[in-house]
Amino acid sequence: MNGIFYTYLTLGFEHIADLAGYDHILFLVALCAVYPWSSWKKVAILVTAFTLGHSLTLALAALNILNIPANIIEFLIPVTIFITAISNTHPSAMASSEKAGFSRPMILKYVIALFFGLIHGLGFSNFFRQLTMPSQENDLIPQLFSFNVGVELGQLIIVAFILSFSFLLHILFKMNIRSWNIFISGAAAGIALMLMLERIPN
Amino acid sequence: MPILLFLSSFFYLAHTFHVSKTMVEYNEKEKSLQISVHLFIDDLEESLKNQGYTGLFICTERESGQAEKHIESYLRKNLTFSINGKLTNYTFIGKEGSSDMSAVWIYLEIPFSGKIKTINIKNSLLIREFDDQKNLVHVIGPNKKEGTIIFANAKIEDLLTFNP
Repeated sequence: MNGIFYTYLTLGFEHIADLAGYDHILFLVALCAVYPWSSWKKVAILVTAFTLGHSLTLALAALNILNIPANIIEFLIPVTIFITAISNTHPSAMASSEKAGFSRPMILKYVIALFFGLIHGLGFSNFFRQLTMPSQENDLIPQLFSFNVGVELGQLIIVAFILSFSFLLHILFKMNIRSWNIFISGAAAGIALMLMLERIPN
Repeated sequence: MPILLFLSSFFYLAHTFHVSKTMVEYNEKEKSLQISVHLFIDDLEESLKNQGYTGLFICTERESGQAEKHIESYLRKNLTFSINGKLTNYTFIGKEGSSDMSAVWIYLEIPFSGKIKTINIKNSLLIREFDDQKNLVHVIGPNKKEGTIIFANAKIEDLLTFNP
Protein backbone atom coordinates (compact mmCIF):
# COMPACT_ATOMS: atom_id res chain seq x y z
CA MET A 1 0.00 0.00 0.00
CA ASN A 2 1.24 3.45 -0.86
CA GLY A 3 0.24 6.95 0.11
CA ILE A 4 -1.39 9.53 -2.13
CA PHE A 5 1.86 11.11 -3.30
CA TYR A 6 3.52 7.96 -4.58
CA THR A 7 0.29 6.52 -6.03
CA TYR A 8 -0.70 9.58 -8.04
CA LEU A 9 2.87 10.36 -9.05
CA THR A 10 3.09 6.86 -10.53
CA LEU A 11 -0.27 7.27 -12.28
CA GLY A 12 0.77 10.64 -13.76
CA PHE A 13 4.14 9.34 -14.87
CA GLU A 14 2.72 6.21 -16.47
CA HIS A 15 -0.06 8.16 -18.13
CA ILE A 16 2.31 10.47 -20.01
CA ALA A 17 4.91 7.78 -20.75
CA ASP A 18 2.29 5.33 -22.03
CA LEU A 19 2.82 4.84 -25.77
CA ALA A 20 -0.87 4.07 -26.23
CA GLY A 21 -1.67 7.69 -25.38
CA TYR A 22 1.07 8.99 -27.63
CA ASP A 23 -0.56 12.29 -28.59
CA HIS A 24 1.01 14.15 -25.65
CA ILE A 25 4.39 12.63 -26.51
CA LEU A 26 3.94 13.79 -30.10
CA PHE A 27 3.31 17.32 -28.86
CA LEU A 28 6.58 17.21 -26.90
CA VAL A 29 8.37 15.97 -30.02
CA ALA A 30 7.05 18.93 -32.03
CA LEU A 31 7.74 21.32 -29.15
CA CYS A 32 11.45 20.52 -28.92
CA ALA A 33 12.25 19.65 -32.57
CA VAL A 34 14.14 22.90 -33.23
CA TYR A 35 16.45 22.58 -30.22
CA PRO A 36 19.83 20.90 -30.12
CA TRP A 37 21.00 19.20 -26.93
CA SER A 38 22.86 22.39 -25.93
CA SER A 39 19.51 24.22 -25.60
CA TRP A 40 18.23 21.83 -22.94
CA LYS A 41 17.50 24.66 -20.52
CA LYS A 42 15.03 26.27 -22.93
CA VAL A 43 13.41 22.89 -23.51
CA ALA A 44 13.07 22.36 -19.76
CA ILE A 45 11.37 25.76 -19.40
CA LEU A 46 9.09 25.03 -22.37
CA VAL A 47 8.06 21.69 -20.87
CA THR A 48 7.42 23.30 -17.49
CA ALA A 49 5.31 26.05 -19.12
CA PHE A 50 3.31 23.29 -20.81
CA THR A 51 2.87 21.60 -17.41
CA LEU A 52 1.69 24.85 -15.79
CA GLY A 53 -0.93 25.13 -18.51
CA HIS A 54 -2.23 21.59 -18.24
CA SER A 55 -2.11 21.58 -14.43
CA LEU A 56 -4.43 24.58 -14.37
CA THR A 57 -7.14 23.14 -16.60
CA LEU A 58 -6.78 19.67 -15.11
CA ALA A 59 -7.48 21.16 -11.67
CA LEU A 60 -10.45 23.20 -12.95
CA ALA A 61 -11.92 20.14 -14.66
CA ALA A 62 -11.28 17.83 -11.69
CA LEU A 63 -12.97 20.32 -9.35
CA ASN A 64 -15.91 20.47 -11.79
CA ILE A 65 -15.42 24.17 -12.45
CA LEU A 66 -14.76 23.55 -16.12
CA ASN A 67 -16.57 20.97 -18.20
CA ILE A 68 -15.85 20.70 -21.93
CA PRO A 69 -17.00 17.70 -23.99
CA ALA A 70 -14.24 15.12 -24.43
CA ASN A 71 -14.71 14.81 -28.21
CA ILE A 72 -13.90 18.50 -28.72
CA ILE A 73 -10.76 18.25 -26.58
CA GLU A 74 -9.66 15.03 -28.30
CA PHE A 75 -9.92 16.90 -31.61
CA LEU A 76 -8.10 20.01 -30.39
CA ILE A 77 -5.11 18.05 -29.02
CA PRO A 78 -3.81 17.02 -32.49
CA VAL A 79 -4.58 20.58 -33.66
CA THR A 80 -2.03 21.87 -31.09
CA ILE A 81 0.50 19.32 -32.39
CA PHE A 82 -0.17 20.27 -36.01
CA ILE A 83 0.20 24.02 -35.38
CA THR A 84 3.40 23.52 -33.36
CA ALA A 85 4.91 21.27 -36.04
CA ILE A 86 3.99 23.59 -38.94
CA SER A 87 5.28 26.66 -37.10
CA ASN A 88 8.67 24.90 -36.78
CA THR A 89 9.14 25.36 -40.54
CA HIS A 90 8.94 29.17 -40.28
CA PRO A 91 12.41 30.77 -40.64
CA SER A 92 12.03 32.49 -37.26
CA ALA A 93 11.52 29.13 -35.49
CA MET A 94 15.13 28.03 -35.91
CA ALA A 95 16.39 31.57 -35.33
CA SER A 96 14.60 31.80 -31.98
CA SER A 97 16.40 28.69 -30.77
CA GLU A 98 19.65 30.63 -31.02
CA LYS A 99 18.31 33.56 -28.99
CA ALA A 100 18.78 33.96 -25.24
CA GLY A 101 16.56 31.94 -22.90
CA PHE A 102 14.40 34.93 -21.96
CA SER A 103 14.49 36.89 -25.20
CA ARG A 104 11.17 38.09 -26.57
CA PRO A 105 10.68 35.28 -29.16
CA MET A 106 11.45 32.63 -26.53
CA ILE A 107 9.01 34.14 -24.03
CA LEU A 108 6.36 34.04 -26.75
CA LYS A 109 7.11 30.35 -27.21
CA TYR A 110 6.74 29.64 -23.48
CA VAL A 111 3.39 31.41 -23.53
CA ILE A 112 2.23 29.33 -26.50
CA ALA A 113 3.37 26.11 -24.78
CA LEU A 114 1.41 27.16 -21.70
CA PHE A 115 -1.64 27.99 -23.79
CA PHE A 116 -1.57 24.63 -25.60
CA GLY A 117 -1.05 23.01 -22.20
CA LEU A 118 -4.51 24.32 -21.25
CA ILE A 119 -6.00 22.06 -23.94
CA HIS A 120 -3.95 18.99 -23.04
CA GLY A 121 -4.92 19.38 -19.35
CA LEU A 122 -8.58 18.95 -20.29
CA GLY A 123 -7.54 15.75 -22.05
CA PHE A 124 -5.84 14.48 -18.89
CA SER A 125 -8.95 15.25 -16.88
CA ASN A 126 -10.99 12.50 -18.56
CA PHE A 127 -8.45 10.03 -17.24
CA PHE A 128 -7.90 11.70 -13.88
CA ARG A 129 -11.61 11.77 -13.04
CA GLN A 130 -11.61 7.98 -13.18
CA LEU A 131 -8.86 7.75 -10.57
CA THR A 132 -10.52 9.53 -7.69
CA MET A 133 -12.15 7.50 -4.97
CA PRO A 134 -15.47 8.56 -3.44
CA SER A 135 -13.92 8.63 0.04
CA GLN A 136 -11.04 10.83 -1.08
CA GLU A 137 -12.93 13.79 -2.44
CA ASN A 138 -11.24 16.03 0.12
CA ASP A 139 -7.81 14.92 -1.05
CA LEU A 140 -8.16 16.20 -4.61
CA ILE A 141 -5.49 18.88 -4.27
CA PRO A 142 -2.71 16.51 -3.10
CA GLN A 143 -3.82 14.01 -5.74
CA LEU A 144 -3.67 16.64 -8.48
CA PHE A 145 -0.31 17.90 -7.28
CA SER A 146 1.27 14.44 -7.23
CA PHE A 147 -0.27 13.52 -10.59
CA ASN A 148 1.20 16.70 -12.14
CA VAL A 149 4.62 16.03 -10.63
CA GLY A 150 4.48 12.56 -12.20
CA VAL A 151 3.48 13.98 -15.58
CA GLU A 152 6.25 16.61 -15.43
CA LEU A 153 8.87 13.97 -14.56
CA GLY A 154 7.65 11.80 -17.42
CA GLN A 155 7.79 14.73 -19.83
CA LEU A 156 11.34 15.67 -18.80
CA ILE A 157 12.46 12.09 -19.39
CA ILE A 158 10.74 12.01 -22.80
CA VAL A 159 12.36 15.26 -24.00
CA ALA A 160 15.74 14.17 -22.61
CA PHE A 161 15.34 11.04 -24.71
CA ILE A 162 14.41 13.02 -27.85
CA LEU A 163 17.31 15.48 -27.44
CA SER A 164 19.77 12.64 -26.80
CA PHE A 165 18.54 10.83 -29.88
CA SER A 166 19.06 13.88 -32.15
CA PHE A 167 22.45 14.46 -30.51
CA LEU A 168 23.41 10.87 -31.29
CA LEU A 169 22.37 11.31 -34.92
CA HIS A 170 24.46 14.46 -35.01
CA ILE A 171 27.55 12.62 -33.72
CA LEU A 172 27.10 9.49 -35.84
CA PHE A 173 25.79 10.87 -39.13
CA LYS A 174 26.67 14.56 -38.92
CA MET A 175 22.95 15.26 -39.03
CA ASN A 176 22.24 18.95 -38.65
CA ILE A 177 19.46 20.21 -36.47
CA ARG A 178 17.71 22.03 -39.36
CA SER A 179 17.22 18.79 -41.30
CA TRP A 180 16.22 17.01 -38.10
CA ASN A 181 13.62 19.69 -37.38
CA ILE A 182 12.05 19.46 -40.85
CA PHE A 183 12.11 15.66 -40.72
CA ILE A 184 10.60 15.25 -37.28
CA SER A 185 8.14 18.16 -37.58
CA GLY A 186 6.90 16.71 -40.85
CA ALA A 187 6.33 13.34 -39.22
CA ALA A 188 4.53 14.94 -36.27
CA ALA A 189 2.34 17.10 -38.55
CA GLY A 190 1.41 14.04 -40.63
CA ILE A 191 0.36 11.96 -37.63
CA ALA A 192 -1.45 14.94 -36.10
CA LEU A 193 -3.38 15.44 -39.33
CA MET A 194 -4.48 11.79 -39.29
CA LEU A 195 -5.60 12.12 -35.68
CA MET A 196 -7.54 15.31 -36.46
CA LEU A 197 -9.37 13.60 -39.32
CA GLU A 198 -10.19 10.64 -37.05
CA ARG A 199 -11.51 12.87 -34.31
CA ILE A 200 -13.61 15.44 -36.16
CA PRO A 201 -16.43 16.05 -33.66
CA ASN A 202 -19.87 15.07 -34.91
CA MET B 1 -4.52 -3.91 -45.88
CA PRO B 2 -3.21 -5.50 -42.66
CA ILE B 3 -0.97 -2.47 -42.26
CA LEU B 4 -3.93 -0.16 -42.62
CA LEU B 5 -5.83 -2.19 -40.07
CA PHE B 6 -2.91 -2.03 -37.72
CA LEU B 7 -2.61 1.72 -38.19
CA SER B 8 -6.28 2.31 -37.58
CA SER B 9 -6.18 0.27 -34.37
CA PHE B 10 -3.11 2.23 -33.34
CA PHE B 11 -4.93 5.51 -33.86
CA TYR B 12 -7.99 4.19 -32.12
CA LEU B 13 -5.84 3.33 -29.11
CA ALA B 14 -4.71 6.91 -28.70
CA HIS B 15 -6.49 7.92 -25.59
CA THR B 16 -8.75 5.16 -24.60
CA PHE B 17 -7.79 4.01 -21.16
CA HIS B 18 -8.84 1.16 -18.92
CA VAL B 19 -9.16 1.75 -15.21
CA SER B 20 -11.20 0.21 -12.43
CA LYS B 21 -11.34 1.33 -8.83
CA THR B 22 -12.20 -0.48 -5.65
CA MET B 23 -12.76 0.84 -2.15
CA VAL B 24 -12.15 -1.56 0.72
CA GLU B 25 -13.08 -0.21 4.13
CA TYR B 26 -13.09 -2.00 7.45
CA ASN B 27 -16.13 -1.04 9.46
CA GLU B 28 -15.14 -1.38 13.11
CA LYS B 29 -18.72 -1.18 14.42
CA GLU B 30 -20.26 -3.73 12.10
CA LYS B 31 -17.12 -5.89 12.10
CA SER B 32 -17.07 -6.20 8.35
CA LEU B 33 -15.05 -5.31 5.29
CA GLN B 34 -17.20 -3.21 2.98
CA ILE B 35 -16.16 -3.27 -0.64
CA SER B 36 -17.29 -1.18 -3.62
CA VAL B 37 -16.02 -1.94 -7.11
CA HIS B 38 -16.29 0.52 -9.99
CA LEU B 39 -16.07 -1.02 -13.47
CA PHE B 40 -16.75 0.50 -16.88
CA ILE B 41 -19.82 -1.21 -18.30
CA ASP B 42 -18.46 -1.45 -21.86
CA ASP B 43 -15.25 -3.08 -20.62
CA LEU B 44 -17.13 -5.50 -18.37
CA GLU B 45 -19.56 -6.45 -21.15
CA GLU B 46 -16.66 -6.97 -23.54
CA SER B 47 -15.03 -9.33 -21.12
CA LEU B 48 -18.24 -11.26 -20.45
CA LYS B 49 -18.81 -11.43 -24.20
CA ASN B 50 -15.45 -13.20 -24.52
CA GLN B 51 -16.90 -15.89 -22.27
CA GLY B 52 -19.93 -16.20 -24.51
CA TYR B 53 -22.36 -14.06 -22.52
CA THR B 54 -23.88 -11.51 -24.86
CA GLY B 55 -26.88 -9.19 -24.76
CA LEU B 56 -26.59 -8.40 -21.06
CA PHE B 57 -27.35 -4.63 -21.32
CA ILE B 58 -25.98 -4.06 -17.82
CA CYS B 59 -27.70 -1.26 -15.88
CA THR B 60 -30.26 -0.52 -18.56
CA GLU B 61 -34.00 -1.17 -18.68
CA ARG B 62 -33.28 -4.09 -20.96
CA GLU B 63 -30.86 -5.76 -18.53
CA SER B 64 -30.86 -9.52 -18.90
CA GLY B 65 -32.01 -11.60 -15.94
CA GLN B 66 -28.70 -13.44 -16.18
CA ALA B 67 -26.52 -10.31 -16.01
CA GLU B 68 -26.08 -10.14 -12.26
CA LYS B 69 -25.22 -13.82 -12.01
CA HIS B 70 -22.49 -13.49 -14.65
CA ILE B 71 -21.09 -10.35 -13.06
CA GLU B 72 -20.96 -12.05 -9.68
CA SER B 73 -19.17 -15.11 -11.00
CA TYR B 74 -16.73 -12.92 -12.95
CA LEU B 75 -15.95 -11.02 -9.76
CA ARG B 76 -15.47 -14.15 -7.68
CA LYS B 77 -12.95 -15.36 -10.26
CA ASN B 78 -11.03 -12.12 -10.59
CA LEU B 79 -11.20 -10.40 -7.24
CA THR B 80 -10.44 -12.37 -4.09
CA PHE B 81 -9.58 -11.55 -0.52
CA SER B 82 -7.75 -13.78 1.93
CA ILE B 83 -7.87 -12.66 5.52
CA ASN B 84 -5.13 -13.95 7.85
CA GLY B 85 -4.05 -16.35 5.12
CA LYS B 86 -7.48 -17.88 4.49
CA LEU B 87 -9.52 -17.31 1.33
CA THR B 88 -12.67 -15.50 2.47
CA ASN B 89 -15.92 -15.46 0.50
CA TYR B 90 -17.83 -12.25 0.18
CA THR B 91 -21.54 -11.57 0.06
CA PHE B 92 -22.74 -9.98 -3.15
CA ILE B 93 -24.91 -7.12 -1.90
CA GLY B 94 -25.92 -5.56 -5.20
CA LYS B 95 -25.02 -3.10 -7.89
CA GLU B 96 -26.04 0.26 -9.34
CA GLY B 97 -25.13 2.38 -12.35
CA SER B 98 -22.72 5.29 -11.87
CA SER B 99 -24.14 8.80 -12.17
CA ASP B 100 -23.27 9.06 -15.87
CA MET B 101 -24.23 5.41 -16.49
CA SER B 102 -20.86 4.63 -18.06
CA ALA B 103 -19.88 2.41 -15.16
CA VAL B 104 -21.35 0.10 -12.56
CA TRP B 105 -20.75 0.16 -8.80
CA ILE B 106 -20.79 -3.31 -7.29
CA TYR B 107 -21.14 -3.72 -3.53
CA LEU B 108 -19.65 -6.63 -1.59
CA GLU B 109 -19.24 -7.42 2.08
CA ILE B 110 -17.10 -9.72 4.20
CA PRO B 111 -18.28 -10.05 7.80
CA PHE B 112 -15.22 -10.73 9.96
CA SER B 113 -15.32 -10.53 13.72
CA GLY B 114 -11.77 -11.65 14.52
CA LYS B 115 -8.61 -9.62 14.51
CA ILE B 116 -7.37 -8.85 11.00
CA LYS B 117 -3.61 -9.28 10.75
CA THR B 118 -3.22 -9.62 7.00
CA ILE B 119 -5.34 -9.20 3.89
CA ASN B 120 -4.13 -10.71 0.66
CA ILE B 121 -5.83 -9.17 -2.38
CA LYS B 122 -5.81 -10.74 -5.82
CA ASN B 123 -7.18 -8.44 -8.48
CA SER B 124 -7.10 -9.47 -12.14
CA LEU B 125 -10.24 -7.60 -13.19
CA LEU B 126 -10.18 -7.01 -16.98
CA ILE B 127 -6.42 -7.51 -17.05
CA ARG B 128 -6.58 -10.35 -19.57
CA GLU B 129 -8.82 -8.31 -21.82
CA PHE B 130 -6.90 -5.03 -21.86
CA ASP B 131 -3.10 -4.69 -21.89
CA ASP B 132 -3.24 -1.28 -20.26
CA GLN B 133 -5.80 -2.17 -17.59
CA LYS B 134 -5.04 -0.63 -14.19
CA ASN B 135 -7.00 -1.52 -11.08
CA LEU B 136 -6.77 0.91 -8.21
CA VAL B 137 -7.63 -0.42 -4.79
CA HIS B 138 -7.93 1.99 -1.90
CA VAL B 139 -7.90 0.35 1.51
CA ILE B 140 -8.91 1.77 4.86
CA GLY B 141 -8.02 -1.12 7.13
CA PRO B 142 -8.25 -1.80 10.86
CA ASN B 143 -6.79 1.07 12.93
CA LYS B 144 -7.59 3.36 9.98
CA LYS B 145 -4.42 2.29 8.24
CA GLU B 146 -4.91 3.66 4.74
CA GLY B 147 -3.28 3.40 1.34
CA THR B 148 -3.66 2.63 -2.33
CA ILE B 149 -2.45 -0.25 -4.50
CA ILE B 150 -2.21 -0.18 -8.28
CA PHE B 151 -2.84 -3.61 -9.78
CA ALA B 152 -1.84 -4.16 -13.41
CA ASN B 153 -0.57 -6.83 -15.75
CA ALA B 154 2.72 -7.09 -13.87
CA LYS B 155 1.09 -7.22 -10.45
CA ILE B 156 -2.20 -8.91 -9.64
CA GLU B 157 -1.59 -9.78 -6.00
CA ASP B 158 -0.61 -7.86 -2.87
CA LEU B 159 -0.31 -8.74 0.80
CA LEU B 160 -1.26 -6.08 3.35
CA THR B 161 -0.21 -6.38 6.96
CA PHE B 162 -1.97 -4.66 9.82
CA ASN B 163 -0.22 -4.30 13.14
CA PRO B 164 -2.34 -4.71 16.25
